[in-house]
Amino acid sequence: MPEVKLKGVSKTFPGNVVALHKVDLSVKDKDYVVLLGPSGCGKTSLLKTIAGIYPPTEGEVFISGRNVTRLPIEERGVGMMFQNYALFPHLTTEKNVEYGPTMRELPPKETKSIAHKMLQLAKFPLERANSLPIELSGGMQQRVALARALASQSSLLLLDEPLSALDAKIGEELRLELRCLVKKLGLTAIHVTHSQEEAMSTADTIIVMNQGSVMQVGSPEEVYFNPANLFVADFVGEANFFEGEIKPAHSNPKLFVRFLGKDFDLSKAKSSKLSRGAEKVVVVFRPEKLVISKRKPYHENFVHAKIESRRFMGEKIRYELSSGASQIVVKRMGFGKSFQVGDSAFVSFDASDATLFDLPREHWEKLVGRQTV
Amino acid sequence: MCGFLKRRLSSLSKKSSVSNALYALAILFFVFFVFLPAIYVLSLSLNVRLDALVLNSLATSFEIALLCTALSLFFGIPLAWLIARSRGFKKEVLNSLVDMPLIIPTSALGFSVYLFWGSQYGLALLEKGFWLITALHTAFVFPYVVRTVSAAFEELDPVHETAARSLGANLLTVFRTVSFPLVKSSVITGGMLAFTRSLSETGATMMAAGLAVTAPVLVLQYKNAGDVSGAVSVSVILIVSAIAFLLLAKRLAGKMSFSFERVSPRLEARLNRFSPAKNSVVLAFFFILILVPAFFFFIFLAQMKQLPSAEQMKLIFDSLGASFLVAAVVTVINLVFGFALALFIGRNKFGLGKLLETANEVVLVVPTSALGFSLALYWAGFHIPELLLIMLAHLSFTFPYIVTPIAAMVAQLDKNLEEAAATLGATPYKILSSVTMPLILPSVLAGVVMAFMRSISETGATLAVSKSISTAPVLIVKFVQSQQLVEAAVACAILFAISFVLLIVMRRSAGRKKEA
Ligand SMILES: Nc1ncnc2c1ncn2[C@@H]1O[C@H](COP(=O)(O)OP(=O)(O)OP(=O)(O)O)[C@@H](O)[C@H]1O
Ligand SMILES: [Mg+2]
Repeated sequence: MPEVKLKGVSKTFPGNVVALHKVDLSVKDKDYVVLLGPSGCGKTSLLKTIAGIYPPTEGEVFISGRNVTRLPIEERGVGMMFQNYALFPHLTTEKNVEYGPTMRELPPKETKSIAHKMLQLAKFPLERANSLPIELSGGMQQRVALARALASQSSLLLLDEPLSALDAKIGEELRLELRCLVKKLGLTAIHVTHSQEEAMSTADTIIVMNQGSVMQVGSPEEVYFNPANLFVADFVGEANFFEGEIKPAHSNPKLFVRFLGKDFDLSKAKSSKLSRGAEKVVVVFRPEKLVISKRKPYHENFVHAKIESRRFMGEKIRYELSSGASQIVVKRMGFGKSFQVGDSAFVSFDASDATLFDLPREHWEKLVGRQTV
Repeated sequence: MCGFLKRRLSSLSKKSSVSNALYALAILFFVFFVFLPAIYVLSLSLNVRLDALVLNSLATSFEIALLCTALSLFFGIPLAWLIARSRGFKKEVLNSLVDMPLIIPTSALGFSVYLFWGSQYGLALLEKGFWLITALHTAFVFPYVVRTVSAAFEELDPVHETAARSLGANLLTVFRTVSFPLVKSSVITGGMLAFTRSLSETGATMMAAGLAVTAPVLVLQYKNAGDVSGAVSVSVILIVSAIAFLLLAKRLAGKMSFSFERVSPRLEARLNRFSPAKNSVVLAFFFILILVPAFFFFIFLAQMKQLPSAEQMKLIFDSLGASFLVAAVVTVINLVFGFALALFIGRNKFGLGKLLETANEVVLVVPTSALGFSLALYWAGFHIPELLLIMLAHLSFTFPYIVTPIAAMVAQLDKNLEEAAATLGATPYKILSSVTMPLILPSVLAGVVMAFMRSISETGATLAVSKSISTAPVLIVKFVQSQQLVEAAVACAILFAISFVLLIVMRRSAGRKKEA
């Protein structure tokens, strides 16, 4: 039932700070959506616009097909969990959770039972229900904030960086619980984060934002392996960016691209984002999709390289290699034969794992600079 | 030379015995020059006589204080909310307007309020007496309430209000269930400030009193009539009840709690529609009952178009000279000792912080005419010249105004900062001058401004210890009592103008120091 639709929503703050720029978006019912983007890109602004905390400068917001653009916060009926929780410091845990039901003037008995049920669902230890927020640990506060948002009994849950105040381990645990709970209760959730790992591991759908605009909407796999543009490729996970040049086609239907000092046949590469007649391109590979070997591969898609550094990362080992003036990053599972710094090796790839983009006029150095550091 | 002095201070401060000696000096000063003189009269408690006049005056004082505090809270909290939640030009205007009556010395304010309500130059609605005193006290305590509460509203994190609204609470319900409980302690502080200021007000009250007699006024009447035991009686009772009130209010404050179920949110949602009307009522109250009466003496002056004689002008300027001399000397001395004592309290040395803090609060709530009378008895054996005695009185009642804000700031100070400076090799003197001082400077300046202004506008204590010397506010009272209204108005205008300029200069220099 609660799908969320934004039509051309813009939000400009005084001083011409553009937080949102003509955002069109639609969130499906019962979807767990993660809003991902760098700091200051407008994630919180988008969430607050949906909640009714910020009136949009332009555009319209629909919840369950109803235009709520002019509706004040208290009448929108969304459950919101705030960054840093915003628990009422003067009320006990129980009273915090009862707040929403009380505002709907439910009978006191029902109010209490809802609060207890939600605290239980959020796995809050009930014997602490009379504690004030400051007497609770960060993890417990998070659970109270979740229970309070759930107790509003809204089927739309907005979560603004719900895990950012927790340490990594607890955060990891809680994000899975959060997802399970949302699924169990059949809610629609929009979860804001700037951690791509958090997004990958919890989302049904990821919305990548940058500078107030939506860059891509898709499943985690889509966003990771089929990024819509260079920003997404760069921001979500790690990537190799190689500057290349398309070889004149003559009568040949094949697509030859010259990069890393060689001509490669990239006819099978994902080239849908390439504009017609493009000459300069960027070739993008995920580090997992490159292969290192001692032996020369049987096909032509390889370059010579030298291992410059090796870093153990748990399941994977991350290698940095140099080939001519270029840097190449490869990630490999941690078992099997490993390579040592100074070894020379072959780096090979499957052309279908390459994604091609037009070479942008600006900011290109920054992008490449990032992966060589 | 200066370098030598600093090095000397640095090496001295390394010895903790030196800093302890300084603290001891500050404590001795506080005990013998501030605290004991203020309550000395209590040692004569055995001689108290409880006749009807004494008890009536006390009842009148409490009734007026309660009434004006209640009025101020009732209208002041919504106004504070309005100010805290408005933005830009509107906010600035409201903010400065609320501050305005604070700058007018109380006797000038009292005169102005009397002119507006009670004289034929204004509305002539109220006779001198209970209601005129109440109108006057409301006008002068109102800004204290609004200032305290709006500051608390400003500091409130708006996210709690937003969270409440996202849970379905309308604005009025949000105010009742979230914002107001969170500023509760400031409301109580503001209320207590208003109550004790009203209880202690003397000079302005005398102009408005007529046949009604408040306790502080009665102290002076007895003293002037040479009835020492009467003055002792009223002073003792006044001081004891003020202190009892302080303790009671503190107890109650801790116990007060709010439950959010009691009132219906839906009803409040409906009431919330009247919010614009409520704002107009509050603003109307502020303008008609506070602001216009407070500045009515300007309108009066404009009507009169005449000046006092040269002789009277000389009286006015002499009194101004005395006022500013006393205020300046007293503020400087208090700054030295008050600063040391504030460090001592803020750092809670030897666990004595709480005790000294309470002692300061006691001095703060002692009504000044009782304080002055008590102080005169305390120093009676020493044959102290009159001007010096006035200074001693002002020393006593302005002292807490310097200590309280500084001590609060020192207590809040992040201890890590001073420790960090110490690990970087700074001596205690260096830490004080390079870390602590700059951080607490705003509170020091606030304390200085407050102490100075209180000294300038004080009448009760001055009247209680003086015979022939008049400070400016005392002179205004005397003018009004002898119906020299033009002279009074001119003195008010000059006193206001000088205070206003001084305040701006002090604020400016505070601002500049902050930037540097
Ligand atoms: N209330 C506000 N007033 C003025 N500018 C604002 C306000 N809220 C946000 N902005 C600006 O809008 C832009 C987007 O801010 P927003 O808080 O939405 O970013 P965000 O993606 O949530 O960032 P973060 O990850 O750091 O929380 C920023 O440039 C910010 O400075
Ligand atoms: Mg944010």
